[in-house]
Amino acid sequence: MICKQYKQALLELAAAGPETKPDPKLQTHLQACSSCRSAFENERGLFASIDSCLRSSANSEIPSSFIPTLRAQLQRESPAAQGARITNPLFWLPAIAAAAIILFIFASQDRRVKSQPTAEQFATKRTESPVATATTEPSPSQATAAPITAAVGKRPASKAIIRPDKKPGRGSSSAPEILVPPDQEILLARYADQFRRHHQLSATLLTEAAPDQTAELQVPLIQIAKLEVKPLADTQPDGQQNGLREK
Amino acid sequence: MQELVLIQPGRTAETNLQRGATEAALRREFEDRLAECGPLAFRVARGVLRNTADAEDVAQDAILRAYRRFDKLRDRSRFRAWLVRITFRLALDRAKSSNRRQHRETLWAQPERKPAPPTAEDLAAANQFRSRLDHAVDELPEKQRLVLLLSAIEGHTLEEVAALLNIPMGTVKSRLFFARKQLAEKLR
Repeated sequence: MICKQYKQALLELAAAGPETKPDPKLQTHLQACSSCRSAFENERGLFASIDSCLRSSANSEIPSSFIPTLRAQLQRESPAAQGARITNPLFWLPAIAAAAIILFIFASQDRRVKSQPTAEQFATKRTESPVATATTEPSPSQATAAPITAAVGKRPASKAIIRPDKKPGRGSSSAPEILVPPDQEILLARYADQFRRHHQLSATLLTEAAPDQTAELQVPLIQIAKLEVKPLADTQPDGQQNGLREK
Repeated sequence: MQELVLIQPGRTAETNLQRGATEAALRREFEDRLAECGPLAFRVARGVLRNTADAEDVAQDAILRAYRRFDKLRDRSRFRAWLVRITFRLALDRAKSSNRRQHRETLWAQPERKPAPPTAEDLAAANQFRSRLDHAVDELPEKQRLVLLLSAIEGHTLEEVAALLNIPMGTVKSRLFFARKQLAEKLR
């Protein structure tokens, strides 16, 4: 049983740590009173176990990967440098140069498209040539193709919308619109024109070969002449007739 | 009246070079300090979280934050204390969020919860004492807790703890005294 008047002082002494020197009066009492001494020892033991437990958990071993991972992260992350790079005008210089180059390329392509002959011009040139005349002579699609190609040719935009089967004066078409790069605009118009012409030519040929295959077959009735049946007596020879009679 | 400013066109490049050199120097300085302060940050986080993986995460996060703001630190000699504070704060935040998550998960699993069978380890007195101590430490006020933790880490003396936290020695002593007293009362 701990003495009441020393209880608080003993607990505080234990809590203060082993290096704290006790009050002389208290020390004298501890030497004299065994119960207080044992209580004080218990208390010190409790604090020692608290300290050792805290130390062991606080000074746990550091994982071997901790510092290398940290160094790698620091290598990757350099926020100050990144921030400086963004504010630095030299950082933007390559981006500005790249944008200028891209703009220049687009502008030059546009100019090239404008200077190239339009599809209409192309088509007229082709009809003038003998080969083209031979192939395009029967083509009725010339009339429809020309407005389309002309319309395409007039577009100075970087991307043209081509409707291969669009007819003039037609409000809307169910055919898909095709986005074409500017340098392939005329080629595609030519291709569409040729395709349509071939398609129509083949349709014409098929019509000539089999004009109306879906119509009902009209087979003329077989004309069978009336049989003339003549009596045997008139037609058979006499000998035979006599023979029959004998039988 | 329009104001005109005289500039030197070649100066930008010079300034950038200077800035780059300063940054490189800062980085070298930080990396030098890292070997010394990294383990301390880890241990502070480990002391609060009691989980190695979480402590590693938190310590790394704290060090990266410190690195990002290293150039703004005026007194470089205070780096250690600064890092300790950042780590402690982050570790407390992480502990709180993990406690909340644990609480939610416990509530979610409550209908199916069964009392875990006591194992030999659970029954071991040392472990029991440790778990009680951990619980008691968690209940300490933050300031006392930090002092207790720092005094336990790497054998820091009271003077070192005072220097780390930039507080008077008497304050450290009193905080430590009250922290230990409270722990003893809870563990007695």
